[in-house]
Amino acid sequence: MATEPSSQIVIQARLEALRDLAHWVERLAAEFSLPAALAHRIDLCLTELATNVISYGYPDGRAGAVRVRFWRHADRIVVCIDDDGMPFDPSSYEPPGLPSSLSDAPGGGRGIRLVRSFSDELHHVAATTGNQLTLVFRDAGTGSPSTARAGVQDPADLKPTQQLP
Amino acid sequence: MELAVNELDSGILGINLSGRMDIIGTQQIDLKFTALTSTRRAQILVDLSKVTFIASIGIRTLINNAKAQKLRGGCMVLYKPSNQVEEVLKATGIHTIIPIAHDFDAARGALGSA
Repeated sequence: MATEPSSQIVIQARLEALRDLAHWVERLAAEFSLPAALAHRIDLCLTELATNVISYGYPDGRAGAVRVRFWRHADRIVVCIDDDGMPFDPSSYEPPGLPSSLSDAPGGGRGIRLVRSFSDELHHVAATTGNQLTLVFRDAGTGSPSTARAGVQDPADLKPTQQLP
Repeated sequence: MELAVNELDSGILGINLSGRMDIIGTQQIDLKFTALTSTRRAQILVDLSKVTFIASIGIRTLINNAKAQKLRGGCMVLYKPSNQVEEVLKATGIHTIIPIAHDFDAARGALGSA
C-alpha cells in the first residue's frame, strides 16, 4: 500500500483477542460512518480469516501476532491482514459445495465461502515470515456486496510491505 | 453467549440464544446446546432473534445440533434471525436444510411437517 492506513490494530494470535478485533471494527464503523451492512461484512470476513490464522497458523504453540490495517477510500475499503504463522492461501482453497441435505452437510468448511460471499476481492501473498491477506469491499457507501467481483488488484499493491512489529 | 430454555405451546422446546456466535461465544453454549438436542427426541425452536452475529463456527453448531436431533427422530427450526444473521445463513445454504421461520405459526408448521 502506498498510503498510510486509516487505522490499524495488532492483536496476539489467541482466540481471546478476536473480540478486540470485533470492537476495533465497531470503532471504525463509528469513526468512518460506515453503513451497518458494510461494517458487518468487514467484521464477518475479519473474524473468519483471523479465526483461521489463530486456529491453524501456529501449530507449534508459539506466540504470534496478527496486524490488521484498514484503508478508507471514496469507493472502497481495503483491509490487510498480516500474520507470522504457517503459510496458507485461502484464496486458492476450494470450499465444499452447498449442502443438498442435512445428513450430507459437512460440519465445517464454510468460512472461506463466507469471505468470498461478503467481500469483493480476496488476495494472498506469501510473506517472508507468514502471510498477507488483502480484502477489498467496494460500494463502500452503500454497504452492499458488488454484484460482480472486480478484477485483480494491482500486484504492486499486494507486496508485503513490512514485517510485523 | 447465553442459552436459555423454555417450553412453548404444542410441546415445542424453545432454545433461546443471545450474543455473538463466533468461536468464543459458541464455546460458551456448545455443551448445553448439545445436551439438549442429543439426549431426547423433541421439536426444537432455536430463537436467534438476540444473536447479534454469526460466523461459520456458529453455523457448524447449528448443523451439528440439527443432525443430532434428527438422529433422535425430532426436528429443529431456526426462528427470527436478524437480517444480517439470515444473510449469512443463506450464503451457506443452511436455509435449505434447516427451516427458518419468522413467526410462530410458520415455525410450528415447519416442525410439524418435518
